[in-house]
Amino acid sequence: MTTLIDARALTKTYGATRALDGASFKVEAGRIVGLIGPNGAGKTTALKAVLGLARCDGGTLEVLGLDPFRQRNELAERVSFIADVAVLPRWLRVQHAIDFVAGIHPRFRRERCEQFLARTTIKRTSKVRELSKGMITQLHLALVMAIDAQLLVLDEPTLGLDILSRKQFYDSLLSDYMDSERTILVTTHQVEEVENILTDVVFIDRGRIVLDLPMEEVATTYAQLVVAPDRAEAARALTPLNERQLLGRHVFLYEGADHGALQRLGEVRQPSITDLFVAKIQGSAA
Amino acid sequence: MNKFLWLIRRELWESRAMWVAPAVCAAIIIGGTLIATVLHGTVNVHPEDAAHLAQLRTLTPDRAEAFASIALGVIALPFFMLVLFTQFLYALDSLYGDRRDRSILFWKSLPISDTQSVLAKLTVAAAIFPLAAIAAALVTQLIVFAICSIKLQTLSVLTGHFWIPATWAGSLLVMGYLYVASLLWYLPLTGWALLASAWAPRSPFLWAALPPLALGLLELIVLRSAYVLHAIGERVGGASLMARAFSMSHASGFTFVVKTDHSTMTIPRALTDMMQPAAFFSSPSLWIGVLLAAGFVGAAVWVRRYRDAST
Repeated sequence: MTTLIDARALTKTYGATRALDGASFKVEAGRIVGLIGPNGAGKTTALKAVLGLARCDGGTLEVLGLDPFRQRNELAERVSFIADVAVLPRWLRVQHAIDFVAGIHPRFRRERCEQFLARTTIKRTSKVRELSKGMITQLHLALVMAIDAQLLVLDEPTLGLDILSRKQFYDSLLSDYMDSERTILVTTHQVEEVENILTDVVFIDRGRIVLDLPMEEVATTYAQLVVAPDRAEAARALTPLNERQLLGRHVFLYEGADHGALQRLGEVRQPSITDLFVAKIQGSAA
Repeated sequence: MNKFLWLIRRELWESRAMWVAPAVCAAIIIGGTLIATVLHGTVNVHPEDAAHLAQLRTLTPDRAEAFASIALGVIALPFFMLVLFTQFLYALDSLYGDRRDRSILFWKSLPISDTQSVLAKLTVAAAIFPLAAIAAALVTQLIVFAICSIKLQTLSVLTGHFWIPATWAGSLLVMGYLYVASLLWYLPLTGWALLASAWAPRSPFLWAALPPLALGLLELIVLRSAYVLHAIGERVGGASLMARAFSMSHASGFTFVVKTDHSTMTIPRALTDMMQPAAFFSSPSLWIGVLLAAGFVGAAVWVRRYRDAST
């Protein structure tokens, strides 16, 4: 398996804040990796470093075997990114946007872009300012999906979109773009909507990586236990990561616990990424 | 190179409003000419103007040609002055605009180096806008001369010399010369505007204007001299460029009575005689300016590269 991103002990300080504090992670080819963390956790800083838009103060970083900051121009031919919903210039005409990217990008395939746009209601003669937020995202996605890139980086790609547009965005990404040759690194707050498409999940908190796991291992490593109040004490004895109460019942989250022992106490479920996120981030804050 | 052409096109798509300025300028001059020629002869002419008209009616052919070439120059001049403002304002907004609407994150997602981006903006500001202005000036000259030829029959001594190819060739030569001269002369201003545009957290105009003024005032207070302010004034004012690029000293001319009190001015026989390219292009201050411009543009590239893209 090829490693596309190899980040080791990255540090980056903005004034007094440590945006990255020894963050290490890897992204392998063919994966869809979610980089998830609270506001100010260092997600965007990490992405900027990966894209060569910012330089880290310490640590080593290789993306597609290149130093992203020094070799940004080479990297830009092989990595695409959507920074967020509203970065297409408002004065740009749809047709001009296609012409421009086609003229600039050696890996852009115009017919792919045209195919995708044909399925939308976007008019070629419209300017970006005349499009709805959802349409702007579709246009950006059409431009980016037509680029034969090895790595696609998405930074909060659906922020501020309505539910339909968000769903449409990820559906298009999965059905029209993703294949075994492609790799996606995505950051988002809306964990629930990416949960089902991720192959790997990375949690970042205060500049550090607190979890880095393939999704299939999430199920085997973590377990959620729901018990009646009288069993709570016994459940606590098994050293859960966290505990919360839900409709009069106690919900515990365990890491590496024996499933058999848990099943004797109550109902065992696979935790959602959101549950895991809350447990991990709160746990590290305690 | 092909990429560079796309970057130039992108600039032209973005700042279409900048084409409006020369078009408006042309419309005003042509409109003014129409009104003036329609009114000609129907209103009471001021005695002083009547004297001028009398002189114009009795011009010898060579003097009529000289007047035609001066008229062409007078029509072109506002376009050159206009370019000064548009190129500065455009440069000031260009890099800042990408950051203001965050579209810099889109441009930076494409394989374009910051050097290419900045040079494309410089090329449009310094070389392409002035070309557009010259094109507009040429069209205006043609239309104004056509209107005058048709409407001012009483001045046929003069208008009869409006369509001599040598006059137009001379005018084009003068415009071409002024194009190159002003491109180089104003390059440091354009470069400085680009740097302010790359740097300014907000209000690039203040970032462009205040530091040089502050430096000048500091010099005035501390050293009691005004070299900086003087240098800025020299560079910004159009008059000093004209004084460097053109001179009457080589030109042969004739005198024309300007006022009824018999004060006169010298009219050159051809504007091309006034050009002094050797003196202009060998002037050290021109090339010091170009070097400064290179420094400013290099700094603008650096700032665009290293400045956090989202701020």
